[in-house]
Amino acid sequence: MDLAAGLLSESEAQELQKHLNSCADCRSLLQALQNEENVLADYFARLEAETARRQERVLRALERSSTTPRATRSLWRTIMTSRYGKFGAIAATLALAAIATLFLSRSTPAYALTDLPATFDQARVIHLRGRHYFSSPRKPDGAEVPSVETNNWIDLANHRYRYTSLGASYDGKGNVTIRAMEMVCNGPYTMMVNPEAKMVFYMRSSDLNREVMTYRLSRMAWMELWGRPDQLKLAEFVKVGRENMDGTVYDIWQWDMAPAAGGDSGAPGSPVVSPSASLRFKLWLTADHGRLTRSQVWMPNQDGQWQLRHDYQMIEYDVEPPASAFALEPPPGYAAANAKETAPLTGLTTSITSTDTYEYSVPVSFTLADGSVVMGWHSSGRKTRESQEPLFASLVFGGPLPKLPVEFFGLKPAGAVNGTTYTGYHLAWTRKANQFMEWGLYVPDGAPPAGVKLLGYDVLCRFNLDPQPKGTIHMADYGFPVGNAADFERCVLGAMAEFSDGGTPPPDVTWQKVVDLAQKIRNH
Amino acid sequence: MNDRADENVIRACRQGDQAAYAELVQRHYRHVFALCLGLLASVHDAEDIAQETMLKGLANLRNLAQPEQFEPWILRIARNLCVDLLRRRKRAKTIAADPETAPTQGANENHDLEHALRRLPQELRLPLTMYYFEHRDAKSIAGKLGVSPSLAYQRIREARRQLHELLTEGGPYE
Repeated sequence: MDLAAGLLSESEAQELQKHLNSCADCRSLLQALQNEENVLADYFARLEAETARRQERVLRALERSSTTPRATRSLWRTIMTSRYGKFGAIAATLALAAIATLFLSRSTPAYALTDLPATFDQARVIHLRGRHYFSSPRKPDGAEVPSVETNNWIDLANHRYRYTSLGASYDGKGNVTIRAMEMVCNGPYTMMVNPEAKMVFYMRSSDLNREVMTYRLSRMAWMELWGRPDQLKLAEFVKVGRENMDGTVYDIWQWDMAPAAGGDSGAPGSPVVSPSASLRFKLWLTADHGRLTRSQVWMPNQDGQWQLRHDYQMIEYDVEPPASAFALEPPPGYAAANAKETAPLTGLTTSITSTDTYEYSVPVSFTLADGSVVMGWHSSGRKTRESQEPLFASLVFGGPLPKLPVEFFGLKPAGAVNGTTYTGYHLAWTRKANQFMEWGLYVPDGAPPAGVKLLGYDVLCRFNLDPQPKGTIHMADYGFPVGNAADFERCVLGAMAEFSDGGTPPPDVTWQKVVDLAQKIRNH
Repeated sequence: MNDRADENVIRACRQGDQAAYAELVQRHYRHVFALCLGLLASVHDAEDIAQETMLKGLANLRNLAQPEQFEPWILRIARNLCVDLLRRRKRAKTIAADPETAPTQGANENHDLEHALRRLPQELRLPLTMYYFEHRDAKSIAGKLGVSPSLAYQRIREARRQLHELLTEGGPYE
């Protein structure tokens, strides 16, 4: 127990280690205790990560406690000194109470908007039902592109989802066609629904792929609502009104995001800031508990008028999904292109990005309990057909990464809030059908920011090519959480096995070895 | 801890600069929260009491005779508020209605751990929280609790032992 908790002196630890070398039962117990240590450390680390949010809540409470209702006092003075003061006493009291209630309700909500990310992150079921509008560009005949409704369910507890992704295609003449592709995943099958073709196509997913995909979609759901977490300034929202709907009172909060320097264009379904636009966010929260129930995103049109772009009319967390949410039967009027029984098996997605000189892919990353990241990646030159095996031959566990054409040498939290950098070290490599995959361990040089679970990571890369390509690579991943040895075996080793010809992971990669390596690097 | 800096901040607060109190919150909130968590075993209760503590600290700052003793003073306030809450709960016998004694929808994989921590005696849970959350060593914990370092060690060991038993549902530990 004391060895696992780090409470022994060096000599005591050495003596105990001698016993462990010859006692399998004690080694087994030590492993169990060390697993508990990891769970404990992870639990308290998560509490620690929430400290900034809690402190902010306290500071807001302090601010509210020092606010004085000046408007109320002056009104009271006005009433009591007026010639009608005595006769209007009852009316004045009622007016005062109403004004005080309104003022107090504006300045002392029972919740804090800055709690929203944590509430979202802890949700095990997320439901977003909304409508998306496209005011420009227009259809060839000048008509507006019809709005599209989405009804997304993400069930992290059971690794199932119903998710519509929106895509747009432009014909070069300013005309746009919106494509909505719905995916329904339940158990081993995923149904892809194509509304244009009125067709569905079935695939089978590996357990790991389903689990990782569900997690990724949950992060993308955040992006759908509010864009990049580091761009959203929840503390700057102001309350602009109240609504009473079906007996429930909602506070309405609003924030106008100023134009940002750099950024992606606002593709459908993703309110990411473009360099020349600003956005308006409106949130509806229940007045009593601050439960988020509706969200809108507005963008200015060419005339500078605000136009509704996304209206998430229903936002729910941790509700029981209806049975129909994940039904795999084709919608009425749709045909099936194949049968579930013959559906192809898909593993972790390898979406390869190519240029004239190089290609790369980063199929998956995992965030370990201590904040370090295991990431699998591949890159190769487009103009060479030589095997990459020599580049991996001399690599050692914990040593430098291979000098592949694109080398992902590090990570930073997306948005780089506090400057923490993750440096990469080689763990293992795998090979499947001539594609070599590097598995690196990325260890942070400081405390990861609290928001990294929603932000994800931006990769840092260098080119080992001559001549050096121009530009750089922008990509990010969310880091599927891996909290203990069992998760590591299922997820990290499972991923390595998927990218291996033999379907087995490298034999010398274990949770304990990776955790020890990360600790050693941090202590160096 | 820079006691002199605390003294300067408190002087500023007393001269009307209430925003300076935010600096004290940022320095001491974590320790207050850790104490509340160790005493109450509930993250929600610890948040509420820690917040109430900091507010009460601001309201009563004029009563602090020795500004350099801000930390022990604010921790005493926290401890008293925790004791008050536990007494009220005991009188009201609301344990059965406490939502945190039952698994909630959306509970994460740490539910078993939280439940086990709640079942530890307070005198063991508090040093355990100081060890894992505040990363204090046994000597520092001993100083905070007013016990000897060896007793602090014993309590952390016993806390881990009992936690192991609770997590393994009473499996034998030798």
